[in-house]
Order: sequence, then C-alpha cells, then structure tokens
Amino acid sequence: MPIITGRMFQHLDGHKDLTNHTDVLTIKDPDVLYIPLMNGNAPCNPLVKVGDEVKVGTKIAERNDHFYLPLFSPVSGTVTGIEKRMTTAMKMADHLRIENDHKNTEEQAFEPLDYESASNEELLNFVKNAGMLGLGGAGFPTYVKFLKPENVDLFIVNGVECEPYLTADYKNMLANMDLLKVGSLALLKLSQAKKGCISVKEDKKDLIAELQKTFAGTAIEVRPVPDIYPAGWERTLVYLLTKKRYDRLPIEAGCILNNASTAIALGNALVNGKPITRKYVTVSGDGVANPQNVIVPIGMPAHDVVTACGGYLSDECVICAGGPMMGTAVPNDTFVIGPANNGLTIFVKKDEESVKCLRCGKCTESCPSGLQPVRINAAEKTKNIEALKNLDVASCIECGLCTYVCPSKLDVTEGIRRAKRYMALMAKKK
Amino acid sequence: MKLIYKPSPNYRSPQSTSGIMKDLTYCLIAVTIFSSLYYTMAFGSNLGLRVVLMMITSVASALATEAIWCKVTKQEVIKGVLTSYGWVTAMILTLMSSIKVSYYALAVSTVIALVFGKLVFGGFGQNIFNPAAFGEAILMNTFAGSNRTDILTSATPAAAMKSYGWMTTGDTFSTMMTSKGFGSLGQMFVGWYPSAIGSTSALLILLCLAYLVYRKDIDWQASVFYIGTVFVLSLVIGLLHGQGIWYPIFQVLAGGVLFGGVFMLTDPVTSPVTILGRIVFAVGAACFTLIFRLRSNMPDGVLYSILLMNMLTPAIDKMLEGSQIKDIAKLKKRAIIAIACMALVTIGVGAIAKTQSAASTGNPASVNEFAAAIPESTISWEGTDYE
Ligand code: SF4
Ligand code: SF4
Repeated sequence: MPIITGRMFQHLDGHKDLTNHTDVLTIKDPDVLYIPLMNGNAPCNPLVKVGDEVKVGTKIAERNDHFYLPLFSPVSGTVTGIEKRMTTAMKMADHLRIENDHKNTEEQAFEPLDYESASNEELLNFVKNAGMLGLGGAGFPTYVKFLKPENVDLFIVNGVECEPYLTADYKNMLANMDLLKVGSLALLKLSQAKKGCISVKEDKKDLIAELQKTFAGTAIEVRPVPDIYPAGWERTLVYLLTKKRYDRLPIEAGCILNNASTAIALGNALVNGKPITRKYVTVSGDGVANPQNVIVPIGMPAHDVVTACGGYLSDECVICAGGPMMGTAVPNDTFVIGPANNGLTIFVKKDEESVKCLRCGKCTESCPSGLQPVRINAAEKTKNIEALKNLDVASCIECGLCTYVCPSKLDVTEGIRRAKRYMALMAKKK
Repeated sequence: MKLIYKPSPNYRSPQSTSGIMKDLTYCLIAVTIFSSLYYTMAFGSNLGLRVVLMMITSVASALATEAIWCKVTKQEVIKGVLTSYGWVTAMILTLMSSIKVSYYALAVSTVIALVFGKLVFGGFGQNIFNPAAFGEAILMNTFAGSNRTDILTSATPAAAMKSYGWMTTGDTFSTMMTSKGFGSLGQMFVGWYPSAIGSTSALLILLCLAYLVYRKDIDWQASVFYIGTVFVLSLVIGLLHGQGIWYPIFQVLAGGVLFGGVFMLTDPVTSPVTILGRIVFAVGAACFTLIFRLRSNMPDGVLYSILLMNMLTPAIDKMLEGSQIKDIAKLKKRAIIAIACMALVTIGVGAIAKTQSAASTGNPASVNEFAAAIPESTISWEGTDYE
C-alpha cells in the first residue's frame, strides 16, 4: 500500500558498470590460505592436524552441532597451524592455515550424482554432504531448508543481487548457465514445489535472454524484478513475486528461496563432484585501482585480493566486506574471503557533514521492514522502552536503507543497532 | 595506508537536506517574481518593487537573527546559518503577508518567528510550530495597526466571501466576483487577482508542487489530501445548501489553501513522520480550515488550522506508532476513525451554516447593491487572507 506507507524500497545507483563489462580475472592463488573454522556463529571442528598434507577437495573441517556442514580444501599443500584471526564480523576466530604447494593435486571429494534419477532422500543427503551453503551472504547450510518441504507453491532462485556495486552473481550466472540449470532444477525437485522461478533485475537484459534460453521448457520461469533495493532480500522478493508477507520464514508464504550462486555450486557438485572451494568476488568502488570480478579460493586474505586488483587508490580508505549497504567496514584487510563473501567494496574516505534530522520521513517510507527509524532513534535517545517495544525494533534487518536515504546524512541505521542492543540488554536484565 | 571503520551502510543517496531547501527556495523565488509582476501590472511598479523589498527585508532579518544566535550560542556562524534554513521561513512569512504590512512589522515578526518559533526549541528540526505560520500569527495579532493605509489595492476574494460567512448563493457569488473585479474562477486559477503576496497563482503553486514532488523533496500526499479534502468537504457542504460546483472550487482557490497546502503543510519538521500520519494531519488541517472559515471571525482559516495541527503532530505520531507491516491494519483503523470523526464534524458545522445573500437579507433590494454595500472596512486589507 505505497500510498499510505511509502514504497518500502528505493532505487539505488548500483554502479554496476564498473565491473559488469570487464573480464573476470582468475588471480594467482596465494601462498598461504586461512580457512575460517566458522559457519555463522558456530565453530567447525578441524579434521586435519598440523603437518597433514591436503589436496584440492580434501575434507578439512565440519560443523557438527544441530546442523551439519563439511568444509573442503581449495588448494593442495600442508596444514601449518590454527591461527586466531579477525573475521568480517570483527570477532576473533580460529582459521586453518594451509601452505599452498601450487600443484593443485586433486582428490575426488564425492561422487557426482544424477539428480533426475536420484530419490529425494539421496539428493538431500548429497546436498548435505557436499557442504552446500547459502552463498548470498547468509552462509546457512542449504539442506536445512529442504528438510520438511510442505505446501511449497513456489521455489525461487534468487539472482537479484541488489547490493550496489556487486556483480559477482551476474558474472557467475553468465559463465555457468548449464550448472545453474542443473542446480536450480535439483533444488526445485527437493522443494517439491509445482513451480519454480528465477529472479534477476529487469535491467539485466542480456542475462534475462540467456536465462530464458536456458530454462525454456523447464518448470522454472524467468521472472525479472524491478531495479530496487532490497529486492534481493527474501521478504521483499517474496512480496514482489507473490504479494504475500510472512512472519518468520518464507515457507509460511509457500516459498523456498536459494541464491543463484548456491544453485551453481550445487550444479558443479552434481555434475563434477566438486565442493565449494572458490568464489566469484566483486572488487569495486572508487578506492581500488582496477575494479573487476575475480575468482579466488576461499581463505584468501582480502589484502592479497586487493593487491591483485591494483591496490588502494588513497592512503585513507574504507573497505567493506560485501557491498556498501550491508557489508561491514572492517578496519584492516587481514580478514579472508569466506564462503559467503561475494564482494569487497573499497571507497576513498570522505567526510559527510550531517545536519539535524528534518523529520522528512524518508526513512519511514523506505524501510523494507515497515519500521519508523526516525522514531526508533528518538525513542532510543530517551530510552523509552514502551515506545521501542511498539516500534518493533527487532524486525530491523540492518539493510542500511534508512541511512542511505537520510538527506540530513545521519547514521540512522547505527542508531537502530544501538536501540536493538539496548532492548537485548533490557530483555536480559529481566 | 589506513583503513577506516565506519558503521554500514557506507553508501548514501545524493539528496541532501540543503538540496531540498535549495529547491524550495527556487520555488519561493518563482512565486515572488510572479507576485511582483502581478502587483506591477495591476497597481504600478511601486507595489511590484515593494514585494521584492519586503522579501529582502525579511530574509535579511532572518539571516541576521540566526547569525547573532549562532554567535551567542557559540556555534560556527556561517555553517550555523546555512544549516538552519531561516531564510525559507522568512520567504514563506513574507509571501503569506499582505502587501500593506510595514517593513518594520515584517522584520520584527521575522525575528520573533525565528527566535520564539524555532531557535528556543533547539533550532531547526526541533520546533513544534511551523515558524512562518507562527510569525504570521504574531504579525497579524500584534502589528495589524501598523499596516500602511496609503497603499490602495482592492479587496481579496477570501475577505469578500468572509463577509457572507463563506456561504452564499450562486447569484450573490457571481455578482461579488464581477463587482469586486475578481473576474472568473479561471482568472483566480491563473492568479490575476489580489490576495496575500504569495497566494495568488494557483497554477504556479501547483507547478511548484509538481516540481518538489518530482525532485522527491516532499511527498505529494500531504498537499493532495489537504486540497482534496477541502474540495470534497466543501462540495458536500455546498450540496447540502444547494450550491453548485463553483463553491468547492472557490474554497480551494481563495485564500491560502493552495499556498499553505504546498509550502506550509509539507514542512517536514512540524508534520508527522509517516505518510499515514501526514494524511491524517492534512485531512485534519482541511477540516479545521473549513470550520474556521464557516464559524470564526477570521477571514481565512488556513493559518490557524496549520498551527493547530502542528500542535497535534506528536499525538498523531504516537497514535500511529508501530510496524507499518505487522500493525498496518490497526494503524489504518486508527487513522480512518480519526479522519471520519473530523470529516463528520466539519460537515455538521457546514450543514448548520446559514446561507447569506442579498436576497436573504432583503435589504438592500438588489443583489448588486448588496455587494456594493459591503462596507470596505470588512473586506479591505486589515488582516490578510490567512488570519
Ligand atoms: S536498517 Fe533497519 S530500520 Fe533501517 S531501513 Fe533497514 S530494516 Fe529499516
Ligand atoms: S531520513 Fe533522516 S532526516 Fe529524514 S526523518 Fe529519517 S532520520 Fe530524519
């Protein structure tokens, strides 16, 4: 109901031209890799010891709490230690240090599978044991979504990539149409939905044409969405496609979503028996010499990636792990590319002059969660718990849109985070 | 090499508050130029020039006031003045005033508007009342006596209509329009008739609205719902009294409905922060405008209806506090109830208004004579249309 609530999204200048038309670069693998032994906030246990030889595809660690997720080595070489390093979330975590012998000796991580003849159970186990996870940023093990697929009307492959600057999914899709098709159809089968669709932004005409060719005659339809942010966020995408809102999980609206790169990774696993060991990463922004997409092994330090792209353009830069909207700005570049990283956005530092809030309401009109950021910030300042409760602070997804639109250049999103922390603290106290 | 931490997002829209104020300033300049042209053509270049000089007087006092305020409160003067946007207040205040207001009264009102209407609340963004409306109220209530009496213009349509209590027959109305030289409703739309300095050209004001909405400086909802509600409710009230379509059209064109609806009601600082809130706010202001027109002694209700709604803004925001997705049904219900109550009261007030006309008074005999017999004092520029 945009007339009375605002549109709850915004068109952003994506600056995708910086990297859309340049070739994808495969850069030389680093001499040393650091594989993060983390999945989300859960630790993963190493399966190798210091001194062990590993090959490309060796299973090196696994998450084994209520979820299962194996990790595989992207290179061949020697395990030389377990180090604490800072992650993109700015926490310290264990990383497995692997010295690369640059020989790329391979080992078959698992057998390929013909998804068409496999039973659903076989397929689900395959997805689980192949270590498939959400590559769009969440890093959530993929099989979990398909454990109980009940009443799924629509299976959605999310290729929207709504973060500005990022083009990694776009490049990945164009380069790997066949794998995308296999992976998407396999996931559609697992979802037991009657229909599937693949969504990309409507301005990507070349990609849409390719997709239409690839998916012609399948149960997956190409459904372009408008060039808005955050069209790639699950709730917004489900709303755009079905006009339905849901409370907790997309399955309530009869939908299951998967990222397009995840589908490609699954295609690669099914066809070639290869796990996720490399990523398409967009390196872009006005602070890097050669903005482009690169294919890098998981565990490569950001510093090495930036150097391979010509280095920084200024002595004072901001580097975001991911796109500029949701990617955290990290105060050093020692963090490594993890499975869920799809970009590094680098800007020359510039100072914004902020003025007072003019109560323009642009934040309340844009918030994809339907919140009222300006009022949340005001309530946070006076620690008005009652108001904060009414204002549903917990539904904020930190998409960053409220800061983006604010004409007074205030750090609105940061205020919401403060309010969230404050509410969490209060809840604990009780 | 230094990598800097800044909380995400690290990406911002090119639109800035200063940019919004700049666009607004352009619009106000356009209205000023039109007005100056009109006064030059209709009453001579003296008055045309006077429009410009009044504008300069008010803007200069605004800039001086804010500069001194920054000095006293130890802020950086240039930055302080540039981000306090006092000149916008001054321009709106001038455009709401009558051409007869003395320079001195205008300057003092500007200072009061800024100091007591805005700065004491904590400056830009913190004020409760629209500072320009606040200043105009001061100007009218305190300085009415200092109006220049040697400036002769004709009566305004709003003031003339006021003498009939904003409810008259179609015949009396047409006579009034011709005998007072206002011409047709079409002429009023284009803006070739006397009124407050800035509220003459409906056409130009609507173009400004289109420009500001196109530039995403303001939402269209507040203006459209305000003007629309004035139109619809006066259509209903008019029908209850057997009036034609001229009645709602006149209600919208006369006085400050358009100017107030586009330049004052949309002031973000003093209106609610959600669109739904702004709709309630706008409908409320429209209702009070009509109630004040029909029931009070003021020639026009726009100014006070805006001030009244400014006062209700925190309550509206509070009423519509919640998630606009999860709680939308509840919020919508509250808004609809508020709107329905206000609309019904307004229609009720309209229904009991008496139709005043030459015929109903019986004396003087002819409609023409009646219109001519309205004492000039009640319809001349004692106050302005906004009062
Ligand atoms: S960051 Fe949170 S509050 Fe701000 S627009 Fe996004 S969801 Fe809404
Ligand atoms: S967008 Fe910024 S200026 Fe506008 S209401 Fe929100 S916080 Fe205030």
